[in-house]
Amino acid sequence: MISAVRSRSALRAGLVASYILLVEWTRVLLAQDSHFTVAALLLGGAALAVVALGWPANGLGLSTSHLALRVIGGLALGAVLLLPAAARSGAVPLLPAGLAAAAIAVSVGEELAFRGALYAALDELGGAPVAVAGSTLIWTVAHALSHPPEFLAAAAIAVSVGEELAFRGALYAALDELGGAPVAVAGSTLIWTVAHALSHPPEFLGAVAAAGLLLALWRWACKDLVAPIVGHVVADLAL
Amino acid sequence: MKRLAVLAAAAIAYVLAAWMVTPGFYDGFGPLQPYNWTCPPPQAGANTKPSSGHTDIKVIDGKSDANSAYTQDGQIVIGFLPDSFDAAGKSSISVDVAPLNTCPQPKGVQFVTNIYKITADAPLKKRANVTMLYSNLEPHPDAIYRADDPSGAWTVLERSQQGQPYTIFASTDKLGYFAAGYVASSPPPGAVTVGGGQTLPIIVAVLIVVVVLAGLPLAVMRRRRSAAGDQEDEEDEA
Repeated sequence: MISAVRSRSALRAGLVASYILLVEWTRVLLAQDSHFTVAALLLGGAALAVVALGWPANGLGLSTSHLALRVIGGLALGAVLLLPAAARSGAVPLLPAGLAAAAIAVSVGEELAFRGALYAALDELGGAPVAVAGSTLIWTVAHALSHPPEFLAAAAIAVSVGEELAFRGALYAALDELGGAPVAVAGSTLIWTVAHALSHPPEFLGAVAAAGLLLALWRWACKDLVAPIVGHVVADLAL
Repeated sequence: MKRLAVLAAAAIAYVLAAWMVTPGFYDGFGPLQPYNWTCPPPQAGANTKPSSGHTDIKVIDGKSDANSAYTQDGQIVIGFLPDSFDAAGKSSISVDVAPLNTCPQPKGVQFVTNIYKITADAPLKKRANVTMLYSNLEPHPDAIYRADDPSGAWTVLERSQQGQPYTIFASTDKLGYFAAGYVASSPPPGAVTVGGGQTLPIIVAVLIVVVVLAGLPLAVMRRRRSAAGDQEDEEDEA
């Protein structure tokens, strides 16, 4: 009985890890074509987030209780992630307020337009499949042609949220179920590092692994995914 | 407390690991191809020397044609509108783009690209658009700079806002030397001194304390919840 449960957990963890690696590497390879950079980031972020579907929010570490504390924790994590780059770069403009504000405005506006009005219109036309496929297609085409910095920032947000839901959310939960916290922390950090092998030079993988470990340990120590999401978004927007 | 200690240790480990690579860890998007450096940074690995380029622009009815000049590796492109040059008496305008063999860093500016010299055998009449690629191994530049002499004064060019990843645009009314960079009000990257050299450890310590403090309430609440859960389990079992 126990071995059956374990093998099912192992299968699930293996599938989640494989799916995440496949999405991450595909996203990176697609993004190498400048015409698809933003589309790859946005769709990649969405595809990563899909893996969190079906998991209970608590299992993922998502909760609105003590939200302010979680957000403050996320800002602190973001500050730690940015510290080495900020200290090295001196006067480099990090997280320009105008760009961040524009990114938020664009993100909200896009959601209202694509997942709001366009989705509703297509849903009325042909139901949910048409709405999902049509809004995704038009969204991709809209971003394939041009990508000013605001869209890049929106794409950075999409990827950050998607990665956190995938690595510290679903993958962590699957590995936790398989072998407890040590397996979840070590496994999610390992897969996170391997997933970034195509997009980062080898010299950076140590720092990538350390960032993954820090975020995974937060997830373990505080049973919280909100702070890693906030920290990751802040760091990616700034960098 | 054990969890918080582990978390703080992880924060320190991350800061140390990220500090060992310039520009101090990055995430997000990488440039489409490795940058070809005149003076590669230590972490650049194998490096190909940057290339140069040449373009002959036709002169039709006394007016220069629209055209662009660029290096073969595409790291700098300069685009000219029709009638951009004073082409009196010429049948074509020759434009050359070449990387400078040295990497001077003027005071107050930190360049993150090669310096390119753009010359033409006729003076410019209209503004030309300059596009430069930059690397993910250095901090992002916030402007393109131009100078008549690389060891002289550098001026900031008017920058266009739209751009592709790792690309910076500006317009210029003169040719000369071009490089992308940012204002360096502090020592250049690599010089491990912030505010006199003692600030960094303090910042690290403060941030670790912030992380620990931020995690403390959540960890305590989690512990209470776990304890309450265990109690409930025991009651259920009883």
